[in-house]
Order: sequence, then C-alpha cells, then structure tokens
Amino acid sequence: MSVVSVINYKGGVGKTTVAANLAAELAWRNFNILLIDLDPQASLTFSFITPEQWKSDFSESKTIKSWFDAISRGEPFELSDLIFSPANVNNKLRGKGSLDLIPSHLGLINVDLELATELGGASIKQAKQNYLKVHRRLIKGLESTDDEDYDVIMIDCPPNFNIVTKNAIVASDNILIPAKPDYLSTLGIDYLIRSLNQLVKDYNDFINIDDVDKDDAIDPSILGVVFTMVQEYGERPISAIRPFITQTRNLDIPVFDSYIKENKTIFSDSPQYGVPVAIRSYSTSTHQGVVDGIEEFVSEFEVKLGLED
Amino acid sequence: MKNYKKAVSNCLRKIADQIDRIDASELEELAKGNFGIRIEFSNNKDKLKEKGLQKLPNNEELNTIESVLREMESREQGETFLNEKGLSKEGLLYLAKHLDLPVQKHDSKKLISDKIIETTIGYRLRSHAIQGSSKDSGITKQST
Repeated sequence: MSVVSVINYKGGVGKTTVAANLAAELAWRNFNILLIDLDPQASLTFSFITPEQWKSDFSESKTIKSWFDAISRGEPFELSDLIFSPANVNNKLRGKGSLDLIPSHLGLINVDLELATELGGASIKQAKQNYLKVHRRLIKGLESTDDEDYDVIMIDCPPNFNIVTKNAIVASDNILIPAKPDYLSTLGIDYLIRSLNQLVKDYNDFINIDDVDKDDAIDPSILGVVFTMVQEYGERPISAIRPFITQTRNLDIPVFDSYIKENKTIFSDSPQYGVPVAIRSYSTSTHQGVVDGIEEFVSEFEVKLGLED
Repeated sequence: MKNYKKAVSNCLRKIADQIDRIDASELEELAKGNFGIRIEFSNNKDKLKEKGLQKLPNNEELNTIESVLREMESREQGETFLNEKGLSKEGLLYLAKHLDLPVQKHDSKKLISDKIIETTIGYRLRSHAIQGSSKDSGITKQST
C-alpha cells in the first residue's frame, strides 16, 4: 500500500481535480483507492457527494475534523470508521476497483490552531516529544486501516504548510505536486520543496530521543510535478508556457511527461455529478483528448509508484 | 490565361514560403485572428544582399552558446557574454527559437536578450534563492 500526498502551496492549481481524476482512473483500472480530504474547503468531498448529503450524513460527526477533535480529547476513535463509498462514482466503477473517501469539514481550519497549542513543552525533550506526537497523529490513525484494503491512499492537502498538511507529509511515502506552468507557480514549487526538506530534517532530527523508534524516520519521495490547465496548440503546450515546463525539468525536479489539458467545459461542472472526467465518456474529440491525457498521466503514475502488474 | 495561372501559382508558393518562416508563437496568434497578413513588394536582390551581411549562428554555435549560458552564475555575466558575441537581432531570434522561447519578430533586441538570459540563467538563480541550502539535501530524488 502506498500513501501519496497531493500538495502545492498555491491554491487553484488543480490539486483536487488531479486527486479526484487520478483516484477514479486508478479505480477504473481495478485498484482500490482511499481518498482523504484534508482541505477545509472540502472540494474533494464535494466532488463526490452533494453539500446536502454532506450536511445530513457527515458534517456532525463523520468527517476528518471529528476524528482530530476526538483524538485531541483523548477519546477512542478509529479513522477507518469515517470511510465511506460515494454512490455515484462507485456505481460507475461497478465490476472494477473501488474508490472510498474520508470527507472533510470547514471547521478543519481550527484543527491547525488546536494542534498548535499542543506543541512546546517544559524542556527540549518534552517539546520534541510533543512535536512528534502532534505530527504523527494521522500516521497513527492510518494504522486502523488494513494494508490489504487499499492499493493507494491519496491525501488531498490544503494550500498551506500548517500542521494538518505536515501530518499528511509525515504519513506519506510519496508526494505529487500539481502545478500550473506559469512564473508564480514555478516559484511555488521551489518554496514547497524547501518546506518539505525542512520538515523532513526537523522531524528526523527530533526522533533521536530515547523513547521513539528510529525506524520511524520519514523519507517521502517526490513522484513529480504534474502540470495542469495546460493550453495546447498543435498537440503540444503553447509556446508561452513551454519554458516553465522546461525550466522545472532543468532544475532536476521530476516532472511527468504527460499533463492535464485545460478544458473549462468539462472540468467546471464534473464535480456536480459526482463522477470525475477521467471515467466519463465524451463524444467530441477535444473532450476525449482531455481524457486521453489523464489516462497517459495515470499510466506514468502507475509506473513511478510501481503499481503496474 | 496560361501565364496568368502560372503567375498566381508562383505567388501562392512565395506566400506559402513566407508563412513557413513564421515562428510558432506568431502562427498561433495568426490562427487566433490576433495577427493579420500584409503583402509588401520589394526588390529581391536588395534583400538578399542585406541578408548576406548578417552572419547567423549555425546549430553547433547555438548549442555552444546555450551550454556556456547555462553554466553562468549571474545575469550580468550572461549579458556581457551575449554582447561580446555581437549577435544581430535576427541572430538572437535564432537563439531564442533554438531555446524554444516565445519571442516575436517585433520584440526589441533587449527583450529577446532578457528572455534568453532568464531561461538559461535567471530561473536557476531564483530557484537557488528560494530553496537555499535545503537544495543540497532532501527529497528531490525521484521515486522509482
């Protein structure tokens, strides 16, 4: 089982779209996927269920926020109890793999503040222990899922580097970075890598205290940057954005060869129907071309993650 | 009639040749309707003579210029190097096209040069400024 965090500091780069479509296409290819929505905006959640269903069936006590709150209070709560199978997408997937979800909640924004209050300590040793305890919350929670149940657990992270996001990184073997091919987004990739390196260093420095298993050192790998919202001309990215793709490669940052093409028509309302673009069929060649692009990206992802048969 | 048809076909062939020389970004703008086409008649012999005075870099020279720029550690070094190369505007356009940069014939020589510098030197300086010492260790390794 692999745990993959989908992350970028910058908002609006297509993290949720990538997570939803990647998970759906992998499930179509007979893999069992668990999505965890850690973004208080809950966009991934609302890509699979309606706000009305979320409010009536989940918001009260069945979101990731409920779990974080319970753990902070010292109450027993298995993370796996939050897992459910969204109906629309799993109806589409019938006979193939599966796609399950742990939904988010707007109140998750306060969880960062609450976790921050648990940091620090009377001594350096205590501060380090509290740091590890706070940042290991999610990885501990994932122990309640069976390794055999899922091929990939994919975490949709919020566009920041707060404690909840850091929990996702600590819990992950791999990092996937969606990014738009423009100047500010490529600067954002540098910021993200710097923050990732700092977190890994700090975390692994802190585990050198007496009562922590040294095997718990973290070592997530960057699977790569996948460029999104790519405008094409002549079956390749337009000339204005190609330099940013090339520059990212030249910085020795892994970059997926395939990319997600821009298409406002099909991406703008797809979440409304609870079934990602990747597993819907389209009658026009332009729209089908977007799906083909997603499929190529997922094939590359399978190879990089070692998922292919 | 026969001569007229031949003249039209020669004309169309010359227009097609000129369109073939348009770079990709200009062709995109033409296709979108943002650019138009204007036909000017000129004396071919004068044009050829003018071109003959400009030495344009060949592929090997372009590769060498690119390699040198990619090793430089400041924008100022890159600017000095390009100035010393004495490339004409057309030479810089050739270099920009070699680097797959979106430049247009009406861009100034300075703008073309700046774009070349940014794409060979500037982006590395930016990345290093942001990533700092964390670049030398950490998780940029690729997952297999």
